[in-house]
Formats: sequence, structure tokens, C-alpha cells
Amino acid sequence: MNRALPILRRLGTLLAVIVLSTFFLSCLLRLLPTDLVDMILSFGTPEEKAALRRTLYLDRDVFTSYFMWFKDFIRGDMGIIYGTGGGETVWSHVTRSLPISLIIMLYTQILALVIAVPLGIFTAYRAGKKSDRIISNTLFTASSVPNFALAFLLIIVVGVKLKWFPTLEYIGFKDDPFQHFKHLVLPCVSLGVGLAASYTRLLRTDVIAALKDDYVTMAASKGLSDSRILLTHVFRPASVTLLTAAALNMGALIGGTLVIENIFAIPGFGFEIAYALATKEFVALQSFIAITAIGYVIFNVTADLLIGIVDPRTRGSR
Amino acid sequence: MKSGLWKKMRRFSIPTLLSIAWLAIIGLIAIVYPILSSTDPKFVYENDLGVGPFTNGHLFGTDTNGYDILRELLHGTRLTLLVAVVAVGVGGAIGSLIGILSGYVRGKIDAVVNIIFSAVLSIPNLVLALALVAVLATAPDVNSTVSNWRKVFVVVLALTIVIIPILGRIARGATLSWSNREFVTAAKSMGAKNSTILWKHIVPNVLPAVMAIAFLAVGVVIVAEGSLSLLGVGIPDGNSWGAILAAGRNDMEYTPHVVYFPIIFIALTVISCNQIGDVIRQSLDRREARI
Repeated sequence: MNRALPILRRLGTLLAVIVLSTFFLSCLLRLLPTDLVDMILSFGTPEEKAALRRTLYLDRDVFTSYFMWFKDFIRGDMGIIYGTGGGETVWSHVTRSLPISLIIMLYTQILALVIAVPLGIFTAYRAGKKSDRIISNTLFTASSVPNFALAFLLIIVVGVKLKWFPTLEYIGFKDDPFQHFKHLVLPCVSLGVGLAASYTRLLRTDVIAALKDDYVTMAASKGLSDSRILLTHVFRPASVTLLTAAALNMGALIGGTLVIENIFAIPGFGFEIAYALATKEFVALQSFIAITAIGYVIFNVTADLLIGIVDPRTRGSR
Repeated sequence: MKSGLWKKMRRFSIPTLLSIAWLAIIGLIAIVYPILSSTDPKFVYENDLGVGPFTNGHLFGTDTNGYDILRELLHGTRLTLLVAVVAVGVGGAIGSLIGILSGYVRGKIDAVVNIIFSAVLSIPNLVLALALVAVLATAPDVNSTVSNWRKVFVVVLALTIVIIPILGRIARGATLSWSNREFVTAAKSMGAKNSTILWKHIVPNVLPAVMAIAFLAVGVVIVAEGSLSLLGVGIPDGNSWGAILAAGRNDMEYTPHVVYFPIIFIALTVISCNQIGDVIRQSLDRREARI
């Protein structure tokens, strides 16, 4: 019971945050300077408009309409894309585009870790030396470069001039695994470099701190090998930092993916959001953004819980 | 005083000095350039369409419309920095006010403020800015268009709202930890008024932490503004760096320099802001460690 209580409290906060943020979006829709129904059905008869108003729950007050919307939303009934004449549901767009974005984010995280872990440990071992200073300073600069800037540079240099990698389109893994990866190299690199840089910095600080800790000296005096110490005594607490960093950077990664998908013409979730924006599909937009927010919150809470599992020291304090 | 400042400057590393120099230069450009320059940034050089850098007196070349890139960039500096400074300044002021008060008062009000901040922060900042811009920049009537000034205003407003919880949360966290210090307890036991404690003891200690993050926030806002432009809902007509970039990306294959230069301006500014923010944070950490 004692251990479940903090988790329950966290879940309560989680629910409150999700409800509040989606409610906030609902209110935002009401703030539109124009009538949503008139916008969707500019040439509709009054009866048609009244019917649409009922389906969108705009004839109720803010709170009732929000809860009706949320009930439908949970069941996956998110309305239709009005620009297509009502033929396509919002849900079908979500199921089509969301996996693509998730794949991109997954590859980006893997890429960032593959770069960051060896570099972080290396720079920590050589802390204060010249190689550390050069790498650390370069990484700090790299972490500040906006990902769209990197994307454009890569497109021009690697894509257009050298023609090594394609710069447009997305190809599914099932269709052609080789082309699938080839098409995702540039987007994932432009997203991953900044991420890798900030992971490396955090990992470096952490490993330096851990190497000074008593239990590392203890392990060394027991005669454990360097690699054993590194893996079990240094890397385990350091991975907590990585999880925290991943959680902290997730928001930026989601925003980055949104822009990068539009630059590389990848039909992912960010592309859908931008499309909904351009075509003023506010009904779809509300659900899209709600999904983004919910996914982000759940990711953060999961990361928090994982930290408790990985690092026993933090269990009591939460 | 002057020698003290000089001493302080010498302590900074070269990257920090370069960052300060770059920010000073673009700050100066933002203030002075539109006053001194009488030429129209949208002047069309009909004989030099899409020429590369260093041709016919065009230091950065021209785009396919015949606009001089350097002139456009210098002209766009004012709006770019204005958006960033206003969004961070106003958003930071409102956020700090809410954060400091709720962190000081604690209790139920603080819990509510914290959950509201969490809720707003649960939407990734670019997505939130997009949603706000989308809603607020919609024309009241289907047939009318939205004026450019309104678009700029909406972008600033959206980015301000994005900044409020980011800096608000920093201020709240700092207030929570500072208001537990001995000197605050001492001031309380001596019967000091809450307003005195806030002004004399809390605010001077919290503001540096907010300042450090505010520099990072300027970078975030500049990137967000560029991203909004790339997504087609930012500042219109090439009046900011992001807008120049967005306009240039269509001809990227033929005139890549139209993309390079805005990118360099944006990247250098963001890097400089992050560098300075980092320096402030490090010096704070050192001070913390001493106390």
C-alpha cells in the first residue's frame, strides 16, 4: 500500500493534467473569431447547420460539450475531415500517420543514444583534457543548432549536391526495408544530432560524478574490472539521467519532428497537423493536438516510474 | 566601475565574448538599420535574379525575386528580435509574477497553479504555438483576409503564452527553495512584512535563475518563430529571418545561398543565447555552492 500510494497520486495528477490540457484546447476552439459551423458549412441550409452544431456539441455549454467530446474522443470517434466531403474520419488519419512519426522518433532516440553513450563516457574519462574540451564545446554548439537549420544544410549538401540520400518521401519498412532506412537517414540525423549532444553533456557530468563516488572506489578495491565497474556501478545511475533527459527533450523532439516531417515531405503526424492547420480543419486539429499532449504526458510519467525502477535511491523520495 | 566591468569581461571565455559581440551587433542592427537605411528591402534588382553571393555588389546574393538577401536579413532583424524579446519579456514577467507568488504562498493556490502549468506544458511548445496561431489568426469572415500586423501580433501573443509556464515554473521552483532558507525564516521571525520579504529576499535571488533560462527561452522563441514560418503560419512576407528562410526554401536547389544566410543568422543567435544562458547558470551554481 505504501508503495502504491505515490504511484496512485501520480496517476491522479496525470489524469488532471490530461483533462485540463484537453479542456484548454476545447476552450481555444470556442475562442475562434468566427463560427466554426459557418466555416465548415458556408453554404449550408439552416437545418444542416443546426444538425452540425448538434454533432459538434456546440449547442451546449462549454463543460457539457467538452465532456461529450472527451467521451467520443476516448472511444476513437473523433469526427470527420470536412474538407474531403466527409468521406474520411479523423481516426483513419491518425492510424495512418501516427506510426510513421513514432518510428521516426524511435530511430532518432536510438541514433542519439548510439552517439551519446560512447562519447559521454569517453569525455568523462578524459575530463579536462584537450580532447574532452574540443568535443564538449563542439557538442554544446551542436545542441543549439535548430534542427531545421541542420535539415536544410543536409538537404543541400548531402541530398542535392552529393546525391547520397533522397530528401523527399517516406517508404514503409514492409515495402522496401533498404529504401525505408535510406529515406529516414537525413530526417533522423537532423533531429538526432542536437539530442545526442544534450545527452552526451548530461551523461558526461553524471559519469564524472559517479566515478568520484565511494562505491566506485569500493568496487575498484574489490578488484572488479574497469568494464564491470563501468556497466554496473557507473552506467546504471547515469541511465537515470538519460531517462530524465529523454523525458525533458521529448517535447522538443515532438515539435522538431513536426517541422522535419514537413521539410522532408514525410506523411507523419506532424504533416497531418500542418495540413489540418492549412485547411482549417479545426475539429481534426483538436483531436490531433489532444493526442500529442496525452502521449507526451504518458511518456513523462512512464519515464518517471522507470527511473524509480532503475535507481532504487530515488524510490523513497518520491 | 569601468575597470570592474573590464575585469569581468576578461574572465569570460572566447566563445562567451563572441556570443556577447554577436548579440550586440544584431541588437544594434535591429535598432539602427531601419532608421539609417532608406532603401526598400523589397527593391527588385531586375538584372540580378537569383545571383550568388559577391555578385554585382550583392554581398549575400539575391533570391529568384531579385531581392537583395543581406538587405532583407538586416531589415528582418528588427522584427525577429522584437518578437523574441517581447515574448520572453512579457511572458517572463507574467510567469515570474505567478510563479513567485504561488511558490511563496504555497498551499492550495500553489497546487492549482502547478497543475495548470503542467497542463499547458504538457502540450509541446511548438504545437501549442501552432494551435494558438491557428485559432487567433483566423479571419472573422470567410472572405476577408487577416492583416499583416494582426499576424505579427498573434505570433507574439502565442509565443508569450508558450513562455509563461516555462519561466513561471522556474520562478516557482526557485521561490520554493529560497523561501525555506534561514534568512527568510529570520526575517519572518523579526516580523517583516510579506511584501518586504518578497522584494528584499526572494525576488533578488529568484531573478538570476529566471534570467538564465530567459536567455535559453529567447533561443527557443527564435526557433519556434522560424518553425512557424516554415509551417506557413508565421510572420508574413519575408519580414523576419524565419520568413526569409521559408520563402527561400522553394528555390533551395537553384539558389541555396538564400537558405544558408538566414540559417546562419538564426543559428548564431540561438547559439549565442544558449552560451550566455549557460554562463549565467554556471556562475549561479558556483554561487549556490559557496552559500
